[in-house]
Amino acid sequence: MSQLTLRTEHLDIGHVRSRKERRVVRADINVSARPGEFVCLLGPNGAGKSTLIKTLAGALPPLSGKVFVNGVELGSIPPLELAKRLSVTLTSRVAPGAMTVYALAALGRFPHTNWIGRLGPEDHRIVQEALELAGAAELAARDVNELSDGERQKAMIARALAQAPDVMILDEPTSFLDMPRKVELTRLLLRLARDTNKTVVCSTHDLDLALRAADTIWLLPAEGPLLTGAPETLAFDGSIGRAFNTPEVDFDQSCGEFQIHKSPRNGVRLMASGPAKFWAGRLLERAGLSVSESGPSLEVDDALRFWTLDARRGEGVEALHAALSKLRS
Amino acid sequence: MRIAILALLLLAGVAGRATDLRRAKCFTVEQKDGYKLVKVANAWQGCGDTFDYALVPRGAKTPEGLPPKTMVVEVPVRNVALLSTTDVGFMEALGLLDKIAGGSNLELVNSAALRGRIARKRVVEVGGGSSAGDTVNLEKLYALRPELVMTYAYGSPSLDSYPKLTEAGFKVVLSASYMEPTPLGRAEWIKFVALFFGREAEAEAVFSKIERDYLAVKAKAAEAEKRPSVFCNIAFKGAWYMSSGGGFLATLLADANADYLWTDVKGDGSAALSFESVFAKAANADFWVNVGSCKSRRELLGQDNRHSLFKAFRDGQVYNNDAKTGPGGGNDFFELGVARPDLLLGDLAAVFHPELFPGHPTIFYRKLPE
Amino acid sequence: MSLPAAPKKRRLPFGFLALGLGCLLAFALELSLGSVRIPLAEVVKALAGVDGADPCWEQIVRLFRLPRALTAILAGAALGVSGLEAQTFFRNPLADPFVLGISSGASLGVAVVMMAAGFLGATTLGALGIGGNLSVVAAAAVGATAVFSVVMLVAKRVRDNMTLLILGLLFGYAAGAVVGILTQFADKDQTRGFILWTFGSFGGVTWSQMPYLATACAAGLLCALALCKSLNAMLLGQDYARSMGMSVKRVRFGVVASSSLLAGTVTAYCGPIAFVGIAVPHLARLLFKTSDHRTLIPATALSGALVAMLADLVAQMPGLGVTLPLNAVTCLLGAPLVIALILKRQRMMETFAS
Repeated sequence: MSQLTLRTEHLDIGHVRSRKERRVVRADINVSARPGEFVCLLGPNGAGKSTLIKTLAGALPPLSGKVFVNGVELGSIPPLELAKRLSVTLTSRVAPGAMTVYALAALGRFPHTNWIGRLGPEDHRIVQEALELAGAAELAARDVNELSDGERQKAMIARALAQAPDVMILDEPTSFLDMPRKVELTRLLLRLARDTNKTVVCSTHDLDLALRAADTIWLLPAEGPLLTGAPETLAFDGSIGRAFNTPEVDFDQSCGEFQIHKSPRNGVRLMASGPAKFWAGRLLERAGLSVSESGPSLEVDDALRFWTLDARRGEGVEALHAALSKLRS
Repeated sequence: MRIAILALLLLAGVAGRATDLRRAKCFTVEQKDGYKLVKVANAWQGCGDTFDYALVPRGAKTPEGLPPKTMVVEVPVRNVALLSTTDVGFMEALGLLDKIAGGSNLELVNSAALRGRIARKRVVEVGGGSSAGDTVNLEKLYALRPELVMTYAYGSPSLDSYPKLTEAGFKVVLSASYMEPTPLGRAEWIKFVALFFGREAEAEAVFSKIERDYLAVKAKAAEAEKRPSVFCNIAFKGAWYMSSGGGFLATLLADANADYLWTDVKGDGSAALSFESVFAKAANADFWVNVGSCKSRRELLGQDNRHSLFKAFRDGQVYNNDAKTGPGGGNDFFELGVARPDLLLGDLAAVFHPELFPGHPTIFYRKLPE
Repeated sequence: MSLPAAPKKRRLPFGFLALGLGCLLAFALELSLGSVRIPLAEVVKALAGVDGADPCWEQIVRLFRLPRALTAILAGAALGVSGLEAQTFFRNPLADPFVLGISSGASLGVAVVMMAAGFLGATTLGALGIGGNLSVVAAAAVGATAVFSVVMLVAKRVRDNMTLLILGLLFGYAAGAVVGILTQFADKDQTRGFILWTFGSFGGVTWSQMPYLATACAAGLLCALALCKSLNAMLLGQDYARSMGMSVKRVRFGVVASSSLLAGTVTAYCGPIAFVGIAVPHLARLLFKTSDHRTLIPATALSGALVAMLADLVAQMPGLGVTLPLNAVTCLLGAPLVIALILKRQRMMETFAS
């Protein structure tokens, strides 16, 4: 029990409009996390991920129940103490004015420094380490305004690390990043959890990345209780599918991806290997066809350039697509 | 009754001289065929227009060939609404208080006789006083049916009441005695008022006496061996608004044989000087007059404790012109003082040259107590 | 891989040196220039208390120019820092020390004393022994405090700073409206007196009042300095600041209290002074190219003092015999400055947290 850095007990989360009006978003949440654990909070829009994150971070009061940080109840920890144990990183882009990345990261030492914020040699060491861990060391002298979104998020994570917390909570940190940066940041969070033995709890929309990287998934479906487990468990027992399924989209357990619904389609016999096989299959899907044992035959080379459709030969993906579309009709 | 007969006799002999104006510069009177044309120039600071009034005897035909925008007034007027207390002094001197049907800011009136009439409800308050928001109550004014409304103007369309009153059908004339730079000029406006009531001869008699008395005081004061230096007004937050050298106060001070230290200030109003420049010049001045609303030297210190640096302060030679205030708070300096510059001059001459006017009681000026 | 170095601070000492020298120069000019021409040698004699100085000049330098210069320094620093706090806390580059309605509250107090005195009876105040000037100062202070108290009461119940800002503006408008009504019903002299007060002036503070002004300004400035760590955290926004351990309630109280103390005191003693509070923080930000309040607070204080002294020098129109209203000069100097800042929006927004 003392190993748990973060724990909730019968937690009800929601908003208090006025003294009489309380809106419960989710009730009776019981989750926990350990040092070195990377947790991803998943769920469809509007399910309450943000509310849960804010409640865990102490920004929103629980409607009932308790949150424990390092075994101490959240509400009883004074803000400065809490900041030494728990750091928060949010989605939105910050514009802090004229400030270097180093200064931004140094802000994270807020709970540790004296009244005027003077940084001692130990503080500087921690800030430098934080920058390195966050992969922002080369950015240190740059002005925050000049950074790209991805670089900015790394700087913010450096700041969160400089707080020297036990728990790091992040609210959709990859939302505004492009794909490579999303991957980079998710990998970074995983590494942080492993190397620094911190608990990292991150809410995200990147299902794929979360399933691949996280140690534990907290799944918050639109209705029903919050489910926890390893990614594979939740995918395999259909929980993820049930949480996210809509009329248009299905979660395919076999490949761990969302598929747009398959309506009955004509089949094509595909003869290819390696990556070309995978991408040719995608091309068929896009053309409204499916891979099957019968039907016209399609042969593609390993570079996905030269193809033979029944008797026809051709070159190039666009031409193949055009030919396949004719097949459909 | 006897006074009326006497006045008629005087009228006969003096009528010709009545329209001669010796001191007043802001209005002129021309005797035309069967009527008098009165022109008021300079009705307010920076006024470009002249206001023309044709005073026609009651019952006579309206004359032809009048300049455009001339207001025709039938004289003598039988009742008047007086929207400025500065003309009360003139009315009282002419014995015309019973012609006043209504007025503004009546609580400020000093004249005991007029206050009596007001108490007996013979005079009605119609508003239109000195504050911006106080507009004339037209209904009350209508009820009085005044044959004349005498008022003043700033030249500001939002503050002036005379355009609206003229539009409403009243006969409005502008009294601009306060624009006269000299005390005697201001006093001669008694003739302006008298014109509307047919009392020109009396006005001349009254004014002549005042003029003689004034000049007598001036001549006496000129005999003094020493000419004391004097300055006026007070500092406000480091700025000092010093009255102009050609104005009313400056003329009084000069006629009282005192050396007003800022006779070089041009213009009609006052100049914004810095406290330090006033101090540099007046540090050792003999007298200090007209200290705003301060009633004691302690109040002067309260305004700014550097007022104590002046020699005049340390010697106790500080005088304010608020000695005669009425029960309603009105300062008679601006009512009776306008009509009786001889009394004003007498006050100042006695202050500056006590050896020439021993035992003279001051009426409007008093020495500031501790 | 080599560790990143701590940020360079070469620019700072140079900038502060320049500002400090500028302030000393302006101070010297304030003492030696004025409506009365006094030779420089005499000024020095008067300050040093050397025998043989002309007593009149000595009094002018010591009793008029010295307190005036000191008032300008205090007022400029106070307004600058107050504006800086407001801009950072409300994340609004156009915020100024009076954004919470403080100046309007002070004006209301003064208007009541000067224009409604007819109702109270001017004699009452005199009889109470409260001198004219003191009553104006007291009235301004009471008015400012009243608005401040209302704002604080509301601040306790409001979570959002934007709401506080809007409420402050509304209080300002309401107070201004009441002043307008009072002006409507006051007579010419009273109105004139009030308008003279609104011109603003550093010359009305005497040595007897200086201790109060100096103490209040010092207290406000120290309080602001104590808040600089939290103000730095506020650069990231309230949510982040809270997550790093800042107590929003306490900082809100501190900012509102110190900003109001500084703005209210200066307004009480000098009248409402425009532009210094809004322009000087931006000036400091652009000069030092930083948002760090540990640098900005002293930089703003020095810049504010310098700007105030320059404005005062211009207003005195040395040698010309007349004086200009101080507010006219600060607006004439400040408006082009703010316009230039807005035109350089790009650079300004970079130095400003939003």
